[in-house]
Amino acid sequence: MTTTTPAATPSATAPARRRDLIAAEWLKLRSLRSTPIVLALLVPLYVYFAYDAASITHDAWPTLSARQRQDVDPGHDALPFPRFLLLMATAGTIGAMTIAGEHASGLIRTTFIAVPARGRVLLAKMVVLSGVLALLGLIIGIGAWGATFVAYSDRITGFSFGTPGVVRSIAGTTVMVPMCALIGMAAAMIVRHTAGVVFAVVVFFLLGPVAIRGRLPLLDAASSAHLVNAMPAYAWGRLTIMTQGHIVERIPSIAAAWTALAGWALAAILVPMLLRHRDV
Amino acid sequence: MIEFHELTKRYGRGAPAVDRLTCSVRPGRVTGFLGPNGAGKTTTLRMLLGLNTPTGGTATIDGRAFRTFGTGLRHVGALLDANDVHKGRTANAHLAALARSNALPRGRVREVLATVGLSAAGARRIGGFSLGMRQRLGIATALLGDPPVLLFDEPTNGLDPEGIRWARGLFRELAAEGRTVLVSSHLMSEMEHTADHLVVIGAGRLIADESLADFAARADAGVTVRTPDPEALARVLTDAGASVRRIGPDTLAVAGPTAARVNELAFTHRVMVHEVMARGGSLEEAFMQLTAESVQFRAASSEGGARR
Repeated sequence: MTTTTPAATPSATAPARRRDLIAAEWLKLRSLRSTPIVLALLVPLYVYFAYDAASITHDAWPTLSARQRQDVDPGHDALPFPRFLLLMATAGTIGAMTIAGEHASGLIRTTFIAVPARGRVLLAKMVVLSGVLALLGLIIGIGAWGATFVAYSDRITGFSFGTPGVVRSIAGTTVMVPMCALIGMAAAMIVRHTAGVVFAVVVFFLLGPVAIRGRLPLLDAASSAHLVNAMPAYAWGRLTIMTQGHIVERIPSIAAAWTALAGWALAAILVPMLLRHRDV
Repeated sequence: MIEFHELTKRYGRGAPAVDRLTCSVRPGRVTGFLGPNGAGKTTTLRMLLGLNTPTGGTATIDGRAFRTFGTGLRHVGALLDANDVHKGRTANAHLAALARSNALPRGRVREVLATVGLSAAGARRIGGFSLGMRQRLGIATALLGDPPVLLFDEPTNGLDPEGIRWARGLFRELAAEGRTVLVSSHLMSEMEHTADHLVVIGAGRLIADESLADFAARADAGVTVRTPDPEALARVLTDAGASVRRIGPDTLAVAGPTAARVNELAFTHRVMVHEVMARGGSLEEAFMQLTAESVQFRAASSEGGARR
């Protein structure tokens, strides 16, 4: 019977335009109350964290010896590692929720009925969320360093946005935040259960870096170190280290850290593409 | 035009949810898609819309698989489940995002909301909508792209009587404009006033694919007669070739002749009758009789095939 069907007009197969899909996903993101609120709260929180840490260094400065002063790493003040684990978990959760929320509500079916090309829809979602969270990472990075310099005031001098490593750590944060969201999205494509995926994301980002520290079973010391250093948190952390005075562990090269971040992002983009044919 | 060819969906090892379904749905009329709960209606529609992958066979719209359409809303409008929305968004935002994804003008949002009578509720969050309002929003979503093919899965759930009447009118109007309209339901009575044609399935299999009138004629028709002299009337009717069964002290069930013929025979043989009533032949009865088998079959094997 299909042979008698007249040839379809070209418009039938013309794919939905990328910019329309991106605009649609942007509308969706913007029209939920919770997302803008969470994003807006994160900026002052992390600027405050930086100011707080830098103030402690500022207050302690007169008591430090000349040798100790050399070892002070302003990167630890501006971008305190443990607190940023929470930011990573939050970004991962936001990413997971953009997918899990659509699955839980059933909206995903309405979305795929409107645009049957699932790969394009997912890609548009990734573009929008990555863009927004990259901007968040950039603002947090700049804000945190700005707060650090303000707290240092004229007591701790010699640091500015031009100091080697500052721009790198801001760029690293700009990449890290959206990368975490992409990992969260990929996790939600695999685990189609809202509570389950949020739990998995939180465990991965908060507990993961603590749990896999040191020597891993079945691996020699060098391989263990490579694997641990390739974890999102440690790869990002490497980009924020400015002095290496007392670090005795194997630390990766800057290039290796960037490669690890890019690898995670790439894997997080590819996994959903492979799973896009599942029943919804 | 919607075509199903040997469409099959099997979950796990149980009985298939949809079993070699072959039929077509033509434009220009409302086609009712009927079956008892769990008959496979929703699974069929999901496969048609590319949401679920068939185990076998094909489902096409105008000759092509739904997944090969670029912009779905312009070709097929569908309401599967009115709750397939995010409750935190307003109706306006929900529709605007969908319209944008298909490059439809923003003005369509206002137009379809007006069509379904939700103009005043556009700025409200969907979470605050009643089920009936969500059904209207789902119908609005289906209409958004002005598509030639429309699918509605149990669209009148939760609608008030006025809403049901409105929806029926809308479906008939859409069909009269030459569109293909498929409306599923598990209630025969709902179809009586809406559909021109029926596709009936039970336990995933096609039971009937025919006009409303043909379908109604399937029900066993018969005549019930109330008479003060049942013995005499039974004799008269049996002599005329009818089969007669006594179902009450003064009531006979007659199979064979029409009600008019029963009246005639009673009159010519001077047997008094109090009441002559034709029974059966109703859509409801035909539906119950036809699907009874599949319902029983499904209940008997429920461990394996209960999943929808």
